[in-house]
Amino acid sequence: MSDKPIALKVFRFDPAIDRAPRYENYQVPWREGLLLLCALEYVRDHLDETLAFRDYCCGCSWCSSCVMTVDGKGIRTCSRPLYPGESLVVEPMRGFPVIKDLAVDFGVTVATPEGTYRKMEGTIIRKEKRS
Amino acid sequence: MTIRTDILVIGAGGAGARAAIEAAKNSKLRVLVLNQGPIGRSGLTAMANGGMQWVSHPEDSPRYIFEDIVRIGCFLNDQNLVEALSEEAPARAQELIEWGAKPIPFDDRRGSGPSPDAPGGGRSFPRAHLIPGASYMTALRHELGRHPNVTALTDVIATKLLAGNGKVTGATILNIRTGEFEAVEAKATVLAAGGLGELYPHSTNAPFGMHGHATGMGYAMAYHAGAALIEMEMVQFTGNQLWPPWLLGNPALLVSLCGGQYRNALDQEFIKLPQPRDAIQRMAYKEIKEGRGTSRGGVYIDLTISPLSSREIEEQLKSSLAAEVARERWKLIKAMSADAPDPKTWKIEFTPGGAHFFMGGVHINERCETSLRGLYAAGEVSGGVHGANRMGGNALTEIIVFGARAGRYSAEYASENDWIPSDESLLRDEHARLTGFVKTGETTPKSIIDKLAATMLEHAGVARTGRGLMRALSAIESIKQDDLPKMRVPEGRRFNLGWVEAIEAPYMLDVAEMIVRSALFRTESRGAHFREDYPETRPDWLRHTSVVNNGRTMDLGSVPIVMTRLGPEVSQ
Repeated sequence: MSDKPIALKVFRFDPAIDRAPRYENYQVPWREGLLLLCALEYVRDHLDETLAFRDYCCGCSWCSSCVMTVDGKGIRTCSRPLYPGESLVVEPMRGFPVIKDLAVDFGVTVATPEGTYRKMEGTIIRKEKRS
Repeated sequence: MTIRTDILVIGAGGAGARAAIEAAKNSKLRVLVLNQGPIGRSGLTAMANGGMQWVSHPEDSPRYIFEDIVRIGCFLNDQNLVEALSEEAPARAQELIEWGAKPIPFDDRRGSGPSPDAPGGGRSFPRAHLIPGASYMTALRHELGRHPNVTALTDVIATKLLAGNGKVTGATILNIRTGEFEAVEAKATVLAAGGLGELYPHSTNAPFGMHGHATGMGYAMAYHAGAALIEMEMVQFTGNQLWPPWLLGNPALLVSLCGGQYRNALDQEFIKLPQPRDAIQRMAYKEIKEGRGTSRGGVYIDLTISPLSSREIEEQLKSSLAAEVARERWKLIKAMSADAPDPKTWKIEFTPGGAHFFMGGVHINERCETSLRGLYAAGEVSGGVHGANRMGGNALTEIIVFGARAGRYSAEYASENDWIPSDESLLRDEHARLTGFVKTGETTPKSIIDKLAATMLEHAGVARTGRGLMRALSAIESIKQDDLPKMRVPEGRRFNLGWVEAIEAPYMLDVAEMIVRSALFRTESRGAHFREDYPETRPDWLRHTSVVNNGRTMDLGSVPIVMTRLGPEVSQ
């Protein structure tokens, strides 16, 4: 049981090309100390090199550039340990415009004589609840 | 499209952000600052533990810290730079605290502690302070946001410095978000692109294999522009934790804070403290090489003999992290080591040879000027401050002291000089290079980088030999000849990380070659550079190694050290 792979269902969307988002499934082998962000690195390095996410990361649960929506909850993926045989749905962080796949625009602080505000680019993808 | 700005700052870590803030004090100047990720929320400054040192003890003086830094740097430091660092660090740190950085109260009991690696170690007076990278970068980000004449671009990398006739006139950039290529024309350019840890398979710059993007692109861009670089052999190594998973912090710190011991797989204590940082690395490396390493490929730090209680050890392990980080991290460590919850039962495993910091880089003077007009450098990408070894606590002070200087002097230069229109054919060539990668090659940029990193660890790591370095050189040559042309880049323009890696990989090979050639050239052992075939420190090598690009070849040479206070006679 200890080496059962991790199953990831990952949100994919390139706003420049795709009409709508889709999901892709990946299987990542489990190893001691595997974290979700590292599992995504594994996907990019070995399974699908087109997967986009913010891999530029402090790795110590601070910078939050790795936040994503995992099973419906916003978390820092660098600090989410994985257990053998887990299945997870990985989506971009909600409330931010999607650049591509799991990478979102957190915006930039812009100063003007009137004050500072955050500037973002793109459109926010909303998942409507099915009634 | 071409963007025009007065000052271009490449990198928005501590040095770049501080340079932009300083340059923007002249409200007539427009400053453009680029960062590969979200500003303040990516990069190595943000992930720093926060150890800093500056003079704060009433009996201490910049003069003493100056001498400590030069001694630890094995007299290879440019002393004009060390003077600036030792004298200006207190004011720059206070300023950072005024901008909102929160120092953690830190009990610096150790004074002249056992190891130069630990806070207070190798120093004449207690002067260690703690501002975690998170808080440090937040303060700089907020201060940056207060200047309307600063434009910050995130998710952008510089791909090449625009240079000609001994001058730098801007850079070409790639917007990672859109995949668009642009040229930036600037009156002055500040290079603050950071270090090169990812040239090695284990690095504190890439914790647990995640990317800090310390790829050394800044060194390569400066090299190709024709700037002089020094001490390219000086890689500072530290231990990388293997177990328990996700424990952060450096092993020497754990030993001195918790009273642990270094032990090999045969349970022998193999290091008697005190020892300098580089010696610990070599001793651990020797244990593993001679077959006394653990099954994970490391050695132990035994905490079972610690005089502290489990609770005190836990507090010490958390002490160097911001409270929020420590809480999260500790939960994770506990989750990952569920079968051994008590730290007092831990034998922490670490492997030596984790690239931690790079002392060499673009040669600067005290005005952060490089050998090219219009190009300034600050932070880890620059060389000359730390000599052959960086004293713990000097990286986070270096970046604000020299960041501010680079900002000030680049602003002066930009006020007195005009733009130089860039050469259209140069821009066309660069655009063709960036878009010309093949889509169907046999190998990925990542596998090329991994292959290079393995070579660097084996032959250009903590202990080097002439023969090994020659092997590394031919390995790098063969990667350049055989693998690079077959490198494949995934389709698509938006947020194409494979494309970014494809731009980084050839530069990383160039930086690796500079390291290996400089390490071959310095036929002695000094500080972080250890040659098994030349184990002695030689007085005639009290010089910088230098690398300059002369058209097609890498020109190795040596240049004198700037000695303002301590002459060569003191170093004997």
